[in-house]
Amino acid sequence: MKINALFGLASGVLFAISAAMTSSPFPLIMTFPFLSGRKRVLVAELLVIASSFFLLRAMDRSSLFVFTERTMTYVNLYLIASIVIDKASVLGFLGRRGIPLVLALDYFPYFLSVASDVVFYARARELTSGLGPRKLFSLLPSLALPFIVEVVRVAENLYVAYTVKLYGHGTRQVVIRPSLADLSFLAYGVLALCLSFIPRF
Amino acid sequence: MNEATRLWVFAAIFSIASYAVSAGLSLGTAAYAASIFLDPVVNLTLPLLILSVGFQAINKRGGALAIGIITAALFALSFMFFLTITELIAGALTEVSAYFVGYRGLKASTINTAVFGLSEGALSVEIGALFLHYAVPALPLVAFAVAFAALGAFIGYLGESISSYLVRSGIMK
Repeated sequence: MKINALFGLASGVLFAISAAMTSSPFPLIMTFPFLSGRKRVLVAELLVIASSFFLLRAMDRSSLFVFTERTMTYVNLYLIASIVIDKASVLGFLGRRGIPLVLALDYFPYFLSVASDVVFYARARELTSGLGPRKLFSLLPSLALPFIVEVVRVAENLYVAYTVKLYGHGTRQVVIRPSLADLSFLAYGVLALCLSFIPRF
Repeated sequence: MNEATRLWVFAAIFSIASYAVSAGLSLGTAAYAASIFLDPVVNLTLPLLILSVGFQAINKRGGALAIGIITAALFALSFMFFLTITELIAGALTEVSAYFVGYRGLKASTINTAVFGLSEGALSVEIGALFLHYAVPALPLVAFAVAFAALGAFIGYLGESISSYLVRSGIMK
């Protein structure tokens, strides 16, 4: 079940407002049905909620439990957005201006795989062993550079591909009725052929 | 070729790269990625570094604002509204600072990234807390802002060294 981005956003804003403005547990409870496909996430969240409820109760700070509710509501909203929102429908209400956004979303898995590749090979070369904050800062450019080179390359290629104009949307259209200019150019070719057959004197 | 198209395509690609890295960092798709990515220092730095190079790669009026707008839209589509507001304001503030110092060069990169890091870090803390119906007191917020500004300036320095290398090697125009 995919939902149009416009209505999904409106509903998400309503959820966020109701979580931020009130201390009612209903926003949190109403987000759970959407996560029924993800049993492990659901179990982990219920464990977190139960443990925070009982801990705060034991410490006599039950008034703080509402912050747990709100945090969990936002986490759930983030998870729901990745499940229900039909991201290509952004084009429906943004039109041509939405194309960069949809392009960006399409490149998300690719960049994720590039990032994990970079980290994987850095680990394979034992660059990251014994990682502390100081070594990390010296390592940061060598981790970032391959990734950024790939990003710049993708952006350049995409810009070239984006500005190529595919006239007629790639459909075949044989022009039956030639224009006056076409006809006169054809006649010029015929004239050249005829003139070349005139025997020389 | 249309210059505005170039601006938006570059802004989109750099935004999604930064977003993908920060999503990969915070969610940890694989165990080996998680071990390095769960480090809070990396989590704050790598996405900011990519955006810092992005400002310099676009090198055009409106570049910082475009990156802010597209990142905000990406966060809106994943229902993280406090980050949407944060990114819009951070992009606008960086655009203002870039109006005075430009986009490329050590000074410009350091100042722009410091402004972006300061506004993004401080605002995301404050607005995120407001979404929990809690206002962060002024003193911790100022401490956060100073820390993020210092971090941003350092990341800007790294970003300048990376992008000047890319320009010298001909990858970036």
